[in-house]
Amino acid sequence: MHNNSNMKFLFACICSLLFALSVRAEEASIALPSGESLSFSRYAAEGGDLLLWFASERGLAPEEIQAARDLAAMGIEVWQIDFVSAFFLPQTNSSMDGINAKDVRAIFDEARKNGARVTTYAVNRAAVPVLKALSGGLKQRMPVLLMHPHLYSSVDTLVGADYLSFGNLAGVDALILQPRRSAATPWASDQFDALRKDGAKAQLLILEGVRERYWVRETATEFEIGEGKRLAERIIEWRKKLK
Amino acid sequence: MIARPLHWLLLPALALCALAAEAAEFIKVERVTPPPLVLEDLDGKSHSLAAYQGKVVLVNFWATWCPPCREEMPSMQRLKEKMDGQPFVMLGVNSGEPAEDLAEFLKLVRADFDILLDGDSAATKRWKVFGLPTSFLIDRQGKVRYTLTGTTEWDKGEAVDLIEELLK
Repeated sequence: MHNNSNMKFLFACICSLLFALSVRAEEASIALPSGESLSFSRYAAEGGDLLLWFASERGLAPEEIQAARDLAAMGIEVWQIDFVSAFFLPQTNSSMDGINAKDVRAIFDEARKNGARVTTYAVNRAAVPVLKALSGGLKQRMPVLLMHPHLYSSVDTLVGADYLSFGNLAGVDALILQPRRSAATPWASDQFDALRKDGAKAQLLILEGVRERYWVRETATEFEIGEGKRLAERIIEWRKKLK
Repeated sequence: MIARPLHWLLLPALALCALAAEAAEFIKVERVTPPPLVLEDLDGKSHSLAAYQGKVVLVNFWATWCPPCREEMPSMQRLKEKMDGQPFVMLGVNSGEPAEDLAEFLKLVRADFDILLDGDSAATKRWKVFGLPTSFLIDRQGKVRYTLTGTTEWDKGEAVDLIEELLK
């Protein structure tokens, strides 16, 4: 009996793995108000849920691409947007800060067109164009997962930090995901306060035992490697916290 | 699509990434009075920065999970040995970690200088430390004279020159 249930579990795991491997990215594009055309990877699924994934200023890591495949295999469609790669930008914060808010709004509009339940996931400085685009008061609530966002305009040792102001973020329901092992962790509550000051509903979740970009670090610990492989599952868990 | 890049935003990005650049530079500070620093070491002994007035002090904020912090630890140990007998003190402030993690790390790495526990990162916040490692060189009058975000070879070159200048 016990062996039989183990076999069933193993079979289910193999099926999930094969299905995840079979999910292929489809190249899609959106015409943006600025006149540019944005190409991105679409991992199709039919559950009615859509995750808009905005890659960090460092671009996408293979582990993140795999996580998008895994999510699609679990029924969540993913549009993975990498501005740095799409527009050949340098891998810097300023590249993210220069993204036009109207263009990002057009991405949100396109995502909502078919009535999908949209959640946004933005990594590091990608939080900036996302929040700029969502400012101004939303007609419908937008759940946003912000993986170790850097919302500073300047930092000065011994003096302090200034935070970016995004205007009216009413309707933004944000969950800040802050790895415990980060120099930014003592300041996470300040970032959280900065969002709330702009009217966002914000929560803070400290991710224990991991560092920023733990899914791609050369010096990753076994725990970080494991968590990197479970990124898709974790994203599903984090999404639930915003429901 | 893309507005003009704001290059000045590169600086905070670099400071915050905690993967501090190897070629970090000392920044001269105009004799700033540092925030208070009173912390305990692993044995529960309290250390106050104020008690070291009259000595040059190196305060280094670090964490065991931060590879650049670990890399500079051996050169800090060599600096300690080099400065033996001089009015010079080193305080390593471990930021935001439980004592057990630190104790495990110190079994593997030799650090004969005082390592202080800032488990709740309160001192890290008071000192406005945004990247690790961050170091402060404090003169004999108790004023901050140099800061460094990132690593250096503490037992040679500019680091030793600056410490010797402050010892004069």
